[in-house]
Amino acid sequence: MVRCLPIWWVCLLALVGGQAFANPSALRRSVFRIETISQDRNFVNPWRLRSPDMSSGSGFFIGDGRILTNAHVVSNASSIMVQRDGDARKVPAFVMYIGHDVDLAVLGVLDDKYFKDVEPLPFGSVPKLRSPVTTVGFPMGGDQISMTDGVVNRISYRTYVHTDAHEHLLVQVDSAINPGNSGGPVFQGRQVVGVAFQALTRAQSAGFIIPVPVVQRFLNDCLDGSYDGVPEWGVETQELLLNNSATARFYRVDNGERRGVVVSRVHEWSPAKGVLQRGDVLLSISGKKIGVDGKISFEGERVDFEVLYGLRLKGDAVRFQISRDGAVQEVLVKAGLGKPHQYSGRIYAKRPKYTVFGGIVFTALTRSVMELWGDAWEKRAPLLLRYMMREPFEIEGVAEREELVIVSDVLVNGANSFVVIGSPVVDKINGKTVTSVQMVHELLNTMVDDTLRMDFMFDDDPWILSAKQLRIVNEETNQRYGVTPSFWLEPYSVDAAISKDEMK
Amino acid sequence: MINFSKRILILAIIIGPLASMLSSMAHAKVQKKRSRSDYERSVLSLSITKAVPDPDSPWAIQNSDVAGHAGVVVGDNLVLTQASVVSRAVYIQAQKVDDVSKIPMRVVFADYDANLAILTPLEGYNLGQTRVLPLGPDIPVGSDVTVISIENERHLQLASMRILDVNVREAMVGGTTVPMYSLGGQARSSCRSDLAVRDGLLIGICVGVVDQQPQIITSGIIAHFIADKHSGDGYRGFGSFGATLLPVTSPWHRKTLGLEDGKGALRVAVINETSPFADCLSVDDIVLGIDQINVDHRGFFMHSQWGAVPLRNYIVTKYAGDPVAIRFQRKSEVKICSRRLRRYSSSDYLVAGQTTEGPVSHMIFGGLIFRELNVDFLTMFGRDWQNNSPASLLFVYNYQNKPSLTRRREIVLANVLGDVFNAGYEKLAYLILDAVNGKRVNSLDEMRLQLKAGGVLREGMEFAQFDFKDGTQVVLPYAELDETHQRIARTYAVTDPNSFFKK
Repeated sequence: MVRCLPIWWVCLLALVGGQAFANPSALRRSVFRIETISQDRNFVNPWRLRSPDMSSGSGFFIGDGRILTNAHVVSNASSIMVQRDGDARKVPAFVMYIGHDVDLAVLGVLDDKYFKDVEPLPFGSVPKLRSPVTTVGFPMGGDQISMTDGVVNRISYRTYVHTDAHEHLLVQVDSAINPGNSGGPVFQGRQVVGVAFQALTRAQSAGFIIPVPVVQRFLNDCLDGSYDGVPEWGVETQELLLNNSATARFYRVDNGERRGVVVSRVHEWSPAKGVLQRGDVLLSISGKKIGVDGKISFEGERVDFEVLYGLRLKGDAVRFQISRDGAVQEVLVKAGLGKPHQYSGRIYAKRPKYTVFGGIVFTALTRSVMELWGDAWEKRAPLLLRYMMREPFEIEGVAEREELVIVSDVLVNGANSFVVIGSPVVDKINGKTVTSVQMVHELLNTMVDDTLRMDFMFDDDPWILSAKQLRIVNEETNQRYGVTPSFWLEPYSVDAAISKDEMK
Repeated sequence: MINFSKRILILAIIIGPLASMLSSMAHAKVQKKRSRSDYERSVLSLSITKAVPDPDSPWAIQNSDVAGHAGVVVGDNLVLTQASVVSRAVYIQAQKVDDVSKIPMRVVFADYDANLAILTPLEGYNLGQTRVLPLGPDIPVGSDVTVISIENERHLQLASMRILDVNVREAMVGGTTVPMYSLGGQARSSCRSDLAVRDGLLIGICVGVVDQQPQIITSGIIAHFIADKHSGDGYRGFGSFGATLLPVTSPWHRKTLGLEDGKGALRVAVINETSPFADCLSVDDIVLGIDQINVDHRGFFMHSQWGAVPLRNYIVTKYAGDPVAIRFQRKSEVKICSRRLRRYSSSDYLVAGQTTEGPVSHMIFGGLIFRELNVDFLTMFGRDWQNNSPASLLFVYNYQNKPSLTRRREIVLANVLGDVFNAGYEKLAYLILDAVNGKRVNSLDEMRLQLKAGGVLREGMEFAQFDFKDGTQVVLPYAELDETHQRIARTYAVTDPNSFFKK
């Protein structure tokens, strides 16, 4: 009788058709409320932090002392507290792993006994369309756990807004996902089928969950003790062309079943560089046929073929069947990180990279800088910056740079008081093409010239300053404006969220 | 009937004696009070019917648009107005405020870069009794002026305003930069073709409102335009030296250049490939003066009426073809370069201004509509096109838009008229062309020639191959092109057979 109970419950649920969550009281103990104090970075004066901000989210126990939540719940966090449902205690937590590209994080607590008697929640699979799901978490409006039912509306491949630069598989549900729900489990029966993470603000009841394949890939990536990230693709394709019989003939794929997409561009930094080339027709990935619309069959649904590539780990070989000049062949692309989305994704680092010299603040052009113009930065920000952000590889002389360096501010002193920021993107310093903040830092601090000449991209008015005067006022300017440290050159992968070492 | 040159001569004679009298008057910034009736014989109501191409379907005309504007009598049966209000006009009528009859008019001459035009009645018509409104001189900042607009087609409205500043602005998008007065006072939302007068003299014509301040093309520019047309040598236009000069503001830079305090200098920031000075001036040369004019530390010179103003105010007093001598410093050595100014029209730039007459150039190949990237094309994104156009196109307009010896135009795939022939490509739009059949093209004419020269042979078929800058590739066969074009012409009502590519 005891063994049959869950089955009986499931049967009953199936009969009443809608209730998806089998035994709330048994599973809710594994769901946590997460409270954070975070400080966003200041991308104009990068040595500063913005005012502390308190927020909350949800998470759930996945075993081995780990709580899974969203990256955005704990990003830039200087304090993380977790609280189990039904338990008044709040326990400090730290970030074990964080994947901003997939908006997932694994938390740990210092007290191992905290998870005694807590069962890890088991993962299921990708839920079917129209199947019922239950979202569990601690949304705004109260401290108690909340459970809302809904159904799966859509399974697609879309942008995860946390970085706003990475696309992955996601599942749209019609149950409400509100602030505070983030990181909470979404159940089907007793199994977790996803992690609640974002919602459409302009549509009612349109929430999104991160499906299990993306979650499992993240957890697998962390198994070796560090998170590498989702492999970059760097290949652009044209879909639907091969619907056109003449075009199919041009690409010599008009015999038999018509399928595949045409490669239109392979970026220099792409792991597929040297393997794929413009004009290749991608016919299949990992044995799955690619339709003329660029979609494959995946878990019973048609989704973009890039989904499969994005589920691979760094170093995995991904098999493609291609047609090149009519010859069908198999090629292997070694999934790699390539060039990160340093131009287009939001940055969650300890600090933005910067260096200050003579009151001139240099930092890298990133998505986070663009958001100084607000959410509508794609309309409001200066054209030059937004175009460089969105289409960096369309502009001559940009692709080969590690990053674009900008002057984000000028801390006025006697040596720089006349300068006016036009185009802020630094092209050259004393004739040398600038490729990174690190390079700027080294150039300025080893410079022996009398004159500092800074040329800016798409600006005909260079700055010509006295290098000697800038050196003289450098330290005093930093003191007066509270610039400390005077530079920060750590890579963006050094995350801002509190780590175990920092807790100690 | 007096011919155009003779009539202008009469106007010049009127201006002559007035000039000396006015120079003494000009110092009195408060104008004498005048009534509406003083201008009723000089200011005409213009009713202008335009046929403007549909930006989405360049072979078609949008609904005709009738608008009212002001014109001013500047000679016997000669009326001055803004060029932009008569561009693409198919029917123009002039009416005196005290007369019910409407006189059909035509454009005698227009300089669209300077945004000025002269109209005259059609053959067999006459404006009747009118009074020439003489041109006044340039007047100082702070002077009061009266702005005359036409309300309800025949009613003159007078508003008192004051000259707040003189700036150098484009007379129209992509046009010549000329001095303009910025006026303060109760501004209308649009002031196009309104007239600024003072003491019974024409001071300027309004071309638009910036920051709620009407912008007035000055009488000096109008006089230049009229005298140029009258000169008998053919219209030469406003001169330019095809370079961008910027003031040297850095104290350290000034010191390294040996410029003492207050000594003026301009750095050559850009020198166009097509500049007449391209062979003697280089970027980073330091310009010390032009002709006998010295510049101050801001790069300004002293204008007799306006005080310190940008050097462009001096250059626009010249005609294209006039010689000027630039005195400049290169590595401590002072040199002089004398060349003749040249006229720069908006069509000299990579992104041309609005086409003012004739059809909008375009070409349809298998449903793909190709157009040259120009302001005409960009205006399809609405009045706020400078913000709403695709960033890739705005980037070209804002950052690559220079006169060039080698690059003439960018070609854009504007959109696609969907058809079975172009299936798979129907969603493409606003893509900048890189090459046609493997070769870069600089104009639609070059593109036609390149397509006619033959395409890519593959699998026994001949294909036209279009490569775009973003990597997109379109390949369509030459075969069945004629039938496709006939079908598309029927489906989308493309009435002009010249719209289509013909091999």
